[in-house]
Amino acid sequence: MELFCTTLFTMSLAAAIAALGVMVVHFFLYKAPRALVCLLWLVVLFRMACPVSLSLPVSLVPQGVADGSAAQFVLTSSRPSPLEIPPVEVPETTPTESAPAATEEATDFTPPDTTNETVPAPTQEDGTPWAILFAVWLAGTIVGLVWGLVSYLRLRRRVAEAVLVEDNVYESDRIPSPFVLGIFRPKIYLTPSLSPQEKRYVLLHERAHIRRGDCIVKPLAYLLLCFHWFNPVLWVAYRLLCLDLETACDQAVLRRLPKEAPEETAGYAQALLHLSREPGVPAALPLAFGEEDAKARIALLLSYKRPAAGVLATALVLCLLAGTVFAVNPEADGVRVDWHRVTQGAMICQGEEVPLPESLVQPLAALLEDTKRSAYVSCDDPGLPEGTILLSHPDDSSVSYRLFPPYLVQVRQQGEETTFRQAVLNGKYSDYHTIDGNTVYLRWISWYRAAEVLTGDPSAQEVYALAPKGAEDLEGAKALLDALGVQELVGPYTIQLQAEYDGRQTLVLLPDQTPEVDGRLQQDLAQRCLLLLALVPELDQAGWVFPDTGVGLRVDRASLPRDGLSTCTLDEFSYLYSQRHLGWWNCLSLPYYVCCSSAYAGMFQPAYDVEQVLYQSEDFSLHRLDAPYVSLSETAGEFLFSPQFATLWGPPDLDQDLRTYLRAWRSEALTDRDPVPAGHPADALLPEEAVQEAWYLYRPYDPDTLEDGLAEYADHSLWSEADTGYRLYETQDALYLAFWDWDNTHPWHLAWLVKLAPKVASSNDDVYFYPGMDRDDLVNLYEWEGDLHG
Amino acid sequence: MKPTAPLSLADHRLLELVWDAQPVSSAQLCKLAADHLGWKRTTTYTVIKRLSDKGYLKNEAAEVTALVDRAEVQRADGQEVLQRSFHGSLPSFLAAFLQAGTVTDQEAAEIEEMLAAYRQRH
Repeated sequence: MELFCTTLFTMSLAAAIAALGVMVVHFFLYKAPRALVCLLWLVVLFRMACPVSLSLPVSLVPQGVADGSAAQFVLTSSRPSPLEIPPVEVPETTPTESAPAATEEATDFTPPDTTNETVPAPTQEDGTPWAILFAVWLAGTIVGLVWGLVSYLRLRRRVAEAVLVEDNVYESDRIPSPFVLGIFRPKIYLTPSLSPQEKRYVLLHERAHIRRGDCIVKPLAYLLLCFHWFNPVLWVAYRLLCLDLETACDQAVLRRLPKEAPEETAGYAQALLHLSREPGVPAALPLAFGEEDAKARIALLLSYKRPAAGVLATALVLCLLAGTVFAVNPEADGVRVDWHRVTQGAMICQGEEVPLPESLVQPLAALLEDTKRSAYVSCDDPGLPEGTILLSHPDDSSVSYRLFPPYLVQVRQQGEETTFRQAVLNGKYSDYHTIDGNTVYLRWISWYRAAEVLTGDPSAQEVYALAPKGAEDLEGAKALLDALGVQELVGPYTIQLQAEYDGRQTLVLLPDQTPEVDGRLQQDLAQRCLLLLALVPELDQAGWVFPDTGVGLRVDRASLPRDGLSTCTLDEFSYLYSQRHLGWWNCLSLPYYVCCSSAYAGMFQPAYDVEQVLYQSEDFSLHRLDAPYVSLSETAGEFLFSPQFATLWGPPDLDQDLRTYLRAWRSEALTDRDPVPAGHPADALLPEEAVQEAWYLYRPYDPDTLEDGLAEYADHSLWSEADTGYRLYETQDALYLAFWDWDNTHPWHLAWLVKLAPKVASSNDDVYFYPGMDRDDLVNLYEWEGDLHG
Repeated sequence: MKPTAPLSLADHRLLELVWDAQPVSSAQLCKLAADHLGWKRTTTYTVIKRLSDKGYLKNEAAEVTALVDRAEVQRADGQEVLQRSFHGSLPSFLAAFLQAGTVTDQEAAEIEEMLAAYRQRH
């Protein structure tokens, strides 16, 4: 039904465009034989009737119309909107916008409202627009057809008693003006009161109609118009067609009259005038002599001159041209994947391709159609993150698509060469689609279903049932973690419950051996910790530490949706559960906490592999980050990196400490400053008025040595005990450098705060920080004032 | 009973057929109507019925006869035209034709004869 509606709409649009074109050509062919224009109207009729056409480069029909996407756009934008799902994982922001706080991001993780099923079912809206649209259309069509039929039959009845005059000519005193009626055996009906001259003209005219086939064209046009009743342009076109048919007949008559006999013309005009009337007969079928605008016709008549051969030839050429450009469709640009023909879909799960159920392939393929071809840009192979959906075309094996919303990558293989083109999907479509009237949230349902069903992992419900009974239930926690596949990730491990000095409880995974660490591992672990936290409300943090390196991460409860999710329903859990297969681009939204052994005290360590990926994928401008925390430099391009530091990863009085320090040091009241950009949640630790920009420096910042710096930074062996984590805060007139320290008794506390002045220029070129830098260096590099606290 | 209902073109033409062929069976009349007027059987029967109702025809035992003769109808028609367009004035009626020059010599001769005979009678 959707296909029918969109196809019809497409045809109607194309016909309307052709009609408008003909109207324009009308103007140019004013003096030419009208019969030519009538031929052009046939093109419009063709477009109204025929859903397909040749594809030629010369078409004037816009591509968007011809391939149905315009129809899709217009019709589908009237869909009922699904439940409100705020953008998740990779929200859309531009880099110029201030970054929202991570708390905001956390709350964006709201799972959709659900019914009580395990698979959160979208609310159904029965009577989708397709059915309604179709019904409305059908009603309109039936009305038109019935009316045409009824008026035809009534007229037939009326002239039943018309008396035969000759051949197929009849006379009746019950008709207002002469006309020809009938499609296959058209009969001419005259009025009795015609003078012999008038009779002659009328017969010539009506016979011309028959000869020219108007008796078929006009009813056909009406029939088609019934099907396209919703298109006002075509109604206008129909009227023009009728007028043109009459005019063409007038001209045909004049051509038959003896040449150089102006009195004939005048006589004909007079007859026309005498017999003209408002159309008292229905407009569909009879071609009445005086029906159409008599004045216009007379004017055209009187000015009609047989055109010279040259003019005729030109007009003919113009007509052929116009006819062609509107009759054909544009050539498809590149490979079009008919959405209903993409039948092969697979998903990458844990490195393997797992076939997708067909019910998921269709709506996914529809995404391809929605992506404007112009939105594609070249890119390098982005790899196949976990959860990528692969779609291939059964007929054209050289093209395939990789879908990991919001990105769609088209892969083309021509011989040896493989090209990648990437587009960012319209957010609207990357969030949901409609399958059989149900609104399906693609972005997670498909992942959820596909991953869960296809990989054979335990279902969300099964895992949910394993929720430990409390923070102390270590056995339960281990069972849960095993069910989540932690053992497969890190090998055998033990778990420990640690209490922080402030009473916060942390569950720590301690693998027996250090696994091969890569970004994926870390995010997988982080995700599982998150799931654990979701099911154990008493835990505040969960994390892991690897034995050899002492490196680990922690996940805080605050990164759960809904401000920490103190209780987690099955639906909410299902949603989170479905996230565990997400690809690398989502790791940016996972929180990272540094939890180092004393050997690497106080080091902020974002997952360096993420940096690597970012560093390599220069084509990917990841503006979609919620919190663009780091702009490496204005000159280095679009590296926006956002480690997520949750609000509560330090001692709770950290906030107070910092604010106190700052306030003590500033002579002015911190009232009239710019607000903190909606950025990093830790910015909230600073007085809002004070901070314009917060830089999180954990890497050397020389643009020239960026590459080296990153590489160096990645090499953990260079980190020393003196490395500390530092953050730079810039206010309107001062720079503050905060040093965070960490040790076993005081994890993450503000070691000291330095106010630096004069204010460094806002570009980062002058600022140098590197691993190993310490207080003395700092002091030597910059002027400072106030006391160094610490 | 003198019929007074107006006659349509169809009525006139059927009456003509009846006058020429009466008494005529309805089946035969249908054939005549089909040949001369191009009517379907149903149409013919409809008109027969209508004329019967108006009192112009008699249709008994499938035989059709006219209840008025041609002269009467012509006179009635003529009166109508005269009244409608010429305020009942016969001379104006004639003048319309004479002025337009549409009367042939033969017709003029016929008219003169008729006038002469008329004067003689009255």
